Amino acid sequence: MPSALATFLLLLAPVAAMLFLNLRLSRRLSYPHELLEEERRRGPAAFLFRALRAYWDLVLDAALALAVALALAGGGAPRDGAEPRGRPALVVDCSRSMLAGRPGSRPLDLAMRRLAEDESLRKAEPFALAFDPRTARTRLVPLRRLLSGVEGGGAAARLEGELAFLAVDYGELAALRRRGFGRITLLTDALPFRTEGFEAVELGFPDPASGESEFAAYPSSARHDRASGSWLVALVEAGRRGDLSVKAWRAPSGPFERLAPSRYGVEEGPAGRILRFSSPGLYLVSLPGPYGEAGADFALELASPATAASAEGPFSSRVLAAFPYLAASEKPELALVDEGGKGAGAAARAGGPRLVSTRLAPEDGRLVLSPALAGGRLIAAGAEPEAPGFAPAPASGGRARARRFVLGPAALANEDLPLAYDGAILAGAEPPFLDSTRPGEGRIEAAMGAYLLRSGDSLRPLAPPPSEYFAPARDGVLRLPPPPPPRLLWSAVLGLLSAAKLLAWRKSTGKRLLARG
Amino acid sequence: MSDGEAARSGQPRDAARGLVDPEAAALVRAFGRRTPRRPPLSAQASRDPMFRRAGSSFDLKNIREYQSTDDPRRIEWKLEGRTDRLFVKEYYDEERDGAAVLVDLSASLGVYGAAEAKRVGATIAWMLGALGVPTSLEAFAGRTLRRLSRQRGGKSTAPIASFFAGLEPEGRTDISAAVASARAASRYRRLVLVSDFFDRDWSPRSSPFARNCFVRLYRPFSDLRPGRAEVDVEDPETGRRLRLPWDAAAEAAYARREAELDAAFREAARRGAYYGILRPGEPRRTLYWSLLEALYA
Repeated sequence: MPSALATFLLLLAPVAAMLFLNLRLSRRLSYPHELLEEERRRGPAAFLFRALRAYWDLVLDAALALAVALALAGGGAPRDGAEPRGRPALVVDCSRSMLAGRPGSRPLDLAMRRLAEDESLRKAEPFALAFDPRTARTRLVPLRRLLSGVEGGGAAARLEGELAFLAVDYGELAALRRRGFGRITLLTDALPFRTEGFEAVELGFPDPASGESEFAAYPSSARHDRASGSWLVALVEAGRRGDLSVKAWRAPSGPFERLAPSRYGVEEGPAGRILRFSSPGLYLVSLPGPYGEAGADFALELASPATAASAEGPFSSRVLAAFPYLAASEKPELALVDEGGKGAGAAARAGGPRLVSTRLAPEDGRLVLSPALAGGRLIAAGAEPEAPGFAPAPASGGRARARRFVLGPAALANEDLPLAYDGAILAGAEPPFLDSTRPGEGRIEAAMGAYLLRSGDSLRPLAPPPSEYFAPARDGVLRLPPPPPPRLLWSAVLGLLSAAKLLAWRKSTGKRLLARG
Repeated sequence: MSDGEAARSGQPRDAARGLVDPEAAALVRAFGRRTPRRPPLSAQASRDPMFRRAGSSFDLKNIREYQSTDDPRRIEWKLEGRTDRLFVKEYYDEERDGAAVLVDLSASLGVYGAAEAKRVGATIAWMLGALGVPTSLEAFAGRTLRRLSRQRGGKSTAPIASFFAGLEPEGRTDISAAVASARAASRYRRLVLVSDFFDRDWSPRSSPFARNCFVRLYRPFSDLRPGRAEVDVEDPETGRRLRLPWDAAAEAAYARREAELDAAFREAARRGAYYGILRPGEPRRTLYWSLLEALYA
């Protein structure tokens, strides 16, 4: 941003031009002064005309330019490194990770204790940074009103009862700056980034490895096992493993009901337990915390592998026939299209089926498919995750809505090519649960410790990201913008100068500011 | 047309026609036909003393013994009673009393219009001469620029044309000096002063002449269209620049000063002086006629 001086000089250029033109083009009248001697004026106009007499309008213009330059240069804003002006604010992180650990030593407990006991934080305006299930966005909740009448250790319990502890967007702290708060202090457990522009008091992530917590768990994968015809949910667990319970969603509107142990199995895996389900559905896996620790509840949507699909073109028809879990349908979820067919346009519409398009090239290209897509095999073919012109995938799903294959003779001759199509079809399938939402995407409902995102008729499980259960690695920087310059002050200055100009104009011309007719 | 023919016909000569107003000749002819027995209607209505009291003036010239050619009615019987000899009094002829015509040609007259100012002065001077009034024509600014004395008047425009030739507005106005100079240079008791009267040091009451006629050449400031903002006004006489906001207050102050100046002349008019105002481009016939009537009153 240019300095105030540079901006002032830039803005002064038209003023100087007007002064020059005024001097060059002003008409000088010739008349005896006997009848024209200056009158002794009284009132506010006297000062103005005596002091600024000749070029009062240009002087006011120059003053306006100076004010605009100072305002644009952030005049009045604190310098770098200086303490920002404004009331201090204290923010309590209300993400899921604040509930981890033993009761009494959880980060939330420590934060509320600090809030109550730290004299230096008493003057600060307290807020809770919490996820709002109704609007599916993070918001700042004033704590004075929320905690009124609460004493001692009841504050944490009040927060647990009133707020939803999911993942939060720390960028929402910038709203405090916009509201005129100066110093911002965040009481949190641990942040996955460094901070600039505000102070973060990290109270420590309760890590089972260090003994601060007894347990942590998170579902690392959920998939259909074609070999056994069952669905597998793999958990990553740390610390003590307690008994887990499984509930199933009673269609169509719930709630969760306990699932008979005969309908699922528990196996030991390398990183945690593996749950095996015999049928698809919406399940709730609850892992109670030992010794009173907060448990972990995860809702999972295990979808049927059968996918309604349609095919257009000879090659896509053969692909459809090659996969038994693809069933031809008039209302497909997946469209297999040979490039150039008319079905591509229909599939490209938002809300339409997912698309896998294929173009057969006469010659081989120089690309190979990603091993992740091809099951580790080498397949010489081109692929684009999002073909141009197709509706983008929703952020929460993270899935590609369309994928385009370009197959040359070598790719067609490769017997591993179906693996690529299998990977592309599965990669586009719905994930078992969402770990983030977009504001306004739907309404979030609590269901026995877990959360469900209701959007229209669909119900999708929602869980906090892994960083709320396991200590995150620190990467990147969260930088809060500096406090905005005092707009009110500059607005008042500009308003006063403009009013002075109008007043001077009125005094000099004798005209009314608002002409009638 | 020669000067003589022009004089006989009462028409200004071609060379001077541009300097003397064309209606001046008709005005002179009409004024020459005017007699005490047949005064103009306006004079009758106003009971002008000129038309009630014709004859000689009261300015005593001489007392001498009666001669046979004298009118016996002029014998001074009181002197005869004291001396037993017949005497008559001789008075100066009133109609032969001239007038000093002063034309202001200071730089400020440029605002009114130099050509028009000279034309007004030339026309008045020519009309008086054409009516046989001895005139002393002076152009002045801070000093007397030029003087033309015509003891017997005359209808020729040539002297007036040559008088104003080459004269342009210049210098500062000093009416007091010009009037004093004119008074010293002639014994005329009548003064015709053509000026814009932008001279604070002079007052109409200070004139030493017995009979004063003031013709004010006035161009209002508003004629210059100063607009409604700051105005930069240069005084043509002093060169001083004045920048002032031309707003309602300034306009009111200007009007007040103008009213004060006008009131001073109207006060002089109430005391017997003549006061007429001419604006640029205005018809001047009425002013010329009223000026002649005032001079002959």
